[in-house]
Amino acid sequence: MTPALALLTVATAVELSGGPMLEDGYRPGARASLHWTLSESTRDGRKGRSATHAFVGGPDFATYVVPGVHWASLPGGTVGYHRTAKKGFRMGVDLGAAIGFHKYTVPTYVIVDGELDTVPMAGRIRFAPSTRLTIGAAPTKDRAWGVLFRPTVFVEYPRNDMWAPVIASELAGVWRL
Amino acid sequence: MNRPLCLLTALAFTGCASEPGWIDDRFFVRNGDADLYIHAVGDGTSNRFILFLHGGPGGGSATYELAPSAPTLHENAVMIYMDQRSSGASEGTTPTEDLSLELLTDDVLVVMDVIEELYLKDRAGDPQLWLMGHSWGGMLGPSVLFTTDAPERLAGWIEVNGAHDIPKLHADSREMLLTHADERLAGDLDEDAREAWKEIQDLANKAQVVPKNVDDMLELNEAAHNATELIDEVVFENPDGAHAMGWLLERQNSSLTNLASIGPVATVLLEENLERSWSDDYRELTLPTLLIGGAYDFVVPPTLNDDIQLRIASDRVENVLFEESAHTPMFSEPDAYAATVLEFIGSTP
Repeated sequence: MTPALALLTVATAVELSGGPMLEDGYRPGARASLHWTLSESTRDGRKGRSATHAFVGGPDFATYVVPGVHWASLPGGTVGYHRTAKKGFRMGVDLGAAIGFHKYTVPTYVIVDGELDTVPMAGRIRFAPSTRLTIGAAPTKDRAWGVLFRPTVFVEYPRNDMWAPVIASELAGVWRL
Repeated sequence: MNRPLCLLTALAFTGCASEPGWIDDRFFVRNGDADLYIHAVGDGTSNRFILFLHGGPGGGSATYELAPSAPTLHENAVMIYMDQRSSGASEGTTPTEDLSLELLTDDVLVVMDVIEELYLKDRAGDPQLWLMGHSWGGMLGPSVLFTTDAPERLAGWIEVNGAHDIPKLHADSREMLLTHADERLAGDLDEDAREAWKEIQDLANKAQVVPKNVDDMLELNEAAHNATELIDEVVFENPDGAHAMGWLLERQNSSLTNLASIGPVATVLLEENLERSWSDDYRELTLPTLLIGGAYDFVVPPTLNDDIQLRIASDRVENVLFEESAHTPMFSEPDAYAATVLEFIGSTP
């Protein structure tokens, strides 16, 4: 049984989200996620306001481009806690882990025996834990879609010998499947 | 296509390839376990190529491309911005603790090899390669000049607020801070400025003339930057909007990443070179040399340039002091800065 199918057996709902992502605030990118609701409960708040509290998890894919030089893809997964009010206002936080693949589109030169040569440069595969906040309008009983704003901090390692923080912001459409 | 329009078309990420002779190349140079990021940009028909060594150490060269002086330099020469090992957009597997001036010096030589193959070898006319270093680049540049055969391959050396003598830099920085603090505190100041200058004065008074460790040096360095912010005479010019937009879209890595790397890299390299001085080696330098300093540069006082001028063997030396600048004349007096550099390299046969 694949991990995804295993998640499905315990999930009570599935959401697909995706949309444009701006790395560093302006570099183009995109992100898509599937969230299985692993457990949820509805609790009444003050003045009869109820909210659904859910623990979610699932696969996630992010990509961004540094134009003309390199693009990065970050397949991984997230787990998180989402609080969704009756009218659909959602706040949440997700913790993620991804593998960062970096593809360089410019040449890499090397001098071999005094001669100029080019060599492939794939870049190093990096580990990229992340923290993502969610705020926005989630699907409700009356509609199967919503719009979420999701600022994220990836921290990629190793870049050289160090951690490299990457800030991204995502505007995602979300659909309950 | 005019330059601002061209920069706006950076949205298409194609650069200005339509202008004959215009160079806008991004590439990496591999040296051992490092892939060094290079951006060469400017008018290739000028036949003037300037390999630029950034400051920091550990900073990266992207900020210098943003300087308001950059477009003028690019229109009249080819600036080759090199991100040093473990800095800026360069990649690799070098453990930070293994970084050394020797390693970075070897990187510069390999980059020079590649530049010669790519741009100089088959170029008509008399192409020249210049070496230019700012701040920490003024420590790395002399290492290249005085420990390798590079001077035979270079047309000249441009040292901008260069840190070629760390003990003198620290002692002169301390002295300059004390002198200015005394002067400012004797005059009319608002309460905040008085408090700030007093803090700087106390810190400089406590600082040893010879730093015991890198922390001592960095503490004084921070006071030097703080003092610069208190000087009204120093203006920091914003770059042209189109230039800034092109820079923003095309630069390779983020300021946040630079901030994360500059600390560890600077600590290792400054610790290694805390007692390093190239001052005496200048007695053997015969290359045309341009020295640029800022009158209010507390970080690398202009007295370091005066010291070179007294020692250098070269018969073609200019020592230019920018009166309304601190540590970054390319931002404070960009037009005069670019003109000074271009006039010097343009008048060197």
